[in-house]
Amino acid sequence: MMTLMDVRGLKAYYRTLRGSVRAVDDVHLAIKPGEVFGIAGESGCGKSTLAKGMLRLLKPPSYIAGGSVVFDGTDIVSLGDEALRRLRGSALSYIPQSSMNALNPVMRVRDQIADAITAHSGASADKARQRAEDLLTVVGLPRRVSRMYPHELSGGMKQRVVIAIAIALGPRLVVADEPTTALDVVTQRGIVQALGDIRDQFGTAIVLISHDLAVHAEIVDRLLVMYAGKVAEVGSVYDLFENPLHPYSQVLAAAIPSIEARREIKGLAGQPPNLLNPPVGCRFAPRCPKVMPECKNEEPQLREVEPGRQVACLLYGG
Amino acid sequence: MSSAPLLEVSGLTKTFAVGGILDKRYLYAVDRVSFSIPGDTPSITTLAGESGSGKTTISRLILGLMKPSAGQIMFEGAPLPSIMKGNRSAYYRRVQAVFQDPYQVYNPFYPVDRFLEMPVYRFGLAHSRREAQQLIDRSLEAVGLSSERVKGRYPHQLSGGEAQRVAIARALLPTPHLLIADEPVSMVDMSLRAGILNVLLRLKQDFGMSILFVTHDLSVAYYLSDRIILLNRGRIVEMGDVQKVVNHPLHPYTQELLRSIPVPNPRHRWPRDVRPTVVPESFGRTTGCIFEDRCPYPQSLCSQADPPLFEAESDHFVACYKESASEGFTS
Amino acid sequence: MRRSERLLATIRVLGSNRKFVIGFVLLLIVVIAGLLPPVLGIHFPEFGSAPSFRKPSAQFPLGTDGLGRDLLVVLLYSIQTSLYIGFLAGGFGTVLGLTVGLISGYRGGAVDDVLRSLIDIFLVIPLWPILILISASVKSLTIPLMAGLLAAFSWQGSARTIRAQALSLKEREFVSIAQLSGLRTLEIVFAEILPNMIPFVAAGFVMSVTGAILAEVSLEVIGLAPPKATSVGLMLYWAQQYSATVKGWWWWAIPPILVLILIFTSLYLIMTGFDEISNPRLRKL
Repeated sequence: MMTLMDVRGLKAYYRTLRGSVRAVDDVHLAIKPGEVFGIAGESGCGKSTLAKGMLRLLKPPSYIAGGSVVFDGTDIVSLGDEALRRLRGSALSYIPQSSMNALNPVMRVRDQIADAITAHSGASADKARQRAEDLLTVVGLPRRVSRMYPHELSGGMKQRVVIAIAIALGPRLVVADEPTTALDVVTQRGIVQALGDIRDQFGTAIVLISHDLAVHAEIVDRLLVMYAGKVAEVGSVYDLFENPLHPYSQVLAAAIPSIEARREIKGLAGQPPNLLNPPVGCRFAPRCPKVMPECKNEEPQLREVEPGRQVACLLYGG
Repeated sequence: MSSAPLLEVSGLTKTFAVGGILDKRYLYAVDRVSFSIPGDTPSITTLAGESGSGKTTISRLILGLMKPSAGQIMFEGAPLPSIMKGNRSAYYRRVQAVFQDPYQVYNPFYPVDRFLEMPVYRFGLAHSRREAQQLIDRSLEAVGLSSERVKGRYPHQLSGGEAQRVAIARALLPTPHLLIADEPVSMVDMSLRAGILNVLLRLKQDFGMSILFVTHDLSVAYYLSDRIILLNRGRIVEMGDVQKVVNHPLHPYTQELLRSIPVPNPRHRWPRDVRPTVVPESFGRTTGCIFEDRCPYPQSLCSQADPPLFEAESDHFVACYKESASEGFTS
Repeated sequence: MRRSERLLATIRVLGSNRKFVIGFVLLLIVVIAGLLPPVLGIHFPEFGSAPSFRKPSAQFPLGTDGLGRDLLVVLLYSIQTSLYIGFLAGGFGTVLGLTVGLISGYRGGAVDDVLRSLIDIFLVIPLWPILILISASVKSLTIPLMAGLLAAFSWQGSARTIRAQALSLKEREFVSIAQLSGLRTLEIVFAEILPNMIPFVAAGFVMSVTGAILAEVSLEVIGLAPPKATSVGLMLYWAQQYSATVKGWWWWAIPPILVLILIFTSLYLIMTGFDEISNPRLRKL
């Protein structure tokens, strides 16, 4: 099975007065072409840093402290700046958090999309504008939106424009960081489905970062759960919801209320460890309902327990 | 024979003026909202809606932090303005609140102890320091915290979940009859939410407290509540027993909402062919139904007059002409 | 963390900022200089207590003036007076500004409308002509009177800042919680809102003092000063009256000017240091 992006041992830290915070600490993951890959976790687990690290978008005081990100045979981490720039936009694309607020308020929608096109390809201005209008249809917006200004659009519509810009050059991989925060539930569904449409129509791989597990359940093929800068579990979305192996994934699965059925939900106490000085051993040990004595001393490694399923837990020989 | 309702809201309206001198318009944040919470048995009632629906404004109005533009709020049979004029403290011994941001409710200048001591001393809940401390300890226990964990700490030293639990503990100190919880888990991590929600359930089951729960998350509302009131742009569109409303939604807005909620079950995904409508937002009082511009089944009546709440079945009300079909109106 | 620990932490933070420390030390030097005479038992020089018009020498490091006074001692006493007036006026002004700002911001409504207009009026009226007019018309300009006058025209700046802060703070949820916990309005203003304004009040105080000393010196240079007292500005006035610079008696004018530069530099450094500390973005990582 060909891999589109292979992340090995990625470490992304950020510097503070008191040392480096190990936000992403030795993460492995592989994304197949055309798949929707979800990265889930709670606040502070490192998922946003991971998303930026994967595309080498980290700015100081954040930095990549180690590892490799191989995209289509090339290691992005060691790539030169010019080659990286060409890769971004045309092959790799990124939708940041709250990006609907990043639209230029004094430019019409069509021109903003067209600009992205002409900046990275040799297309003429006319062709670019035409393509811009086509893209709006792809993301589910009526064509007349192309002549409008951002302030005339609702939050959901702006977010769709941002997605249109992100896919304007036909990238092979799009990373969307919390694309639905601050949007109402109906709009959220629209955005998530628009991302699914893009994968269906163009075969683009989508990496979806979200703390909302239910959103992942609706659209992703495979899901990765992060905790305290490390990968806890990776597997198909069915496995993660119906038969989670890592105690943390189990806790998450049991903690979500569902509109389908009223069953008791249970959660955790405490908080994730301080990543400035992570504790020895498993980072989830202090809160783990299935903790064993070894867990405090030995750090579990990510291990493939079934084809396509990896867990980092001593319970599974990690 | 039932006693007076715990809370009765009738025709509650709150407007805000927007625009300049030449262009003044009024935003109807809350538009003729009426509902009640029974006084005889403890219950959890949810005010549900998206942002801009008016749910938070209603909670602030009930708490007396804002004055209504029209309509009335009655608490245990007495109208709010007279309660407030007489003795605000007495009201806050019977009605308390928990808010959305676990950290904003704390004054960063003081340790958390003061946060808990304030109501004890102000409401005269204890006669000695020891008694006060015992009261606080009991309250912390009820929310699953120990006082050692909390004593002497500053708010930023607590986790979001802990800070929110302490906020609930504070609200419990005067043993209120009604607790208003405004989005108490929206800013709390997923794994910590269940603990807080279960505390609220216990408050109803073990302490006989009624809760008015405000949220945009229908999954949480379904988990917690007995009754649900759905708001859209300041008006009630549907309300009643939560099982009936969720399993048998009548209003097109409710139907669209329920269809759009992500379900944590990959076997039951959203159907690919059905798409929500994409419409720019609007505000201000419209003549006619609030949902008319987005409704898939508009009739001529819908743009002329605001549909009143109609009792479609026992304890299930909907404001929609499609359902009321000209018989059995209840407002 | 107890109150004392909090205080220590504050001192540590202040001490970590170079500008603040330098400014503070400089100001301290000036203040100590001003306190030297009473401490060392040096009396205020009477007229004719020393030979007049002497150049600086070992006996009189700053020379003497036309009235026969040791200029070094005069300078030290002047510093005392100037700082006293400055801090007094700054203190009055800050208290006044704080009170008006708090009431205006927290109460809102008609009270706010009236007070806000008052603030705006004072922000707009020309300070100097009025100060000069009043100082010149008053029969005897005592030190407290001068301080009061200066305060009356310096409170509006901090009132405006404090009001803006009060407006935003009163919307914070801990204020709602305080109301729900049974606190009354006055308690909320002093126990909830005021503590969060300490950085602003402190900064406002330093600004007020700076402004007051500046205004005071400006008035004194043209001769409007409390009689019998000597101040730095007044020294410059006399220097000018006697055309000291023209006649080459630099020691009449330069030392007071240097002292003024020192005072203003120290106050500026303190203010900037404060700003850097309270604005995390300016803090050097």
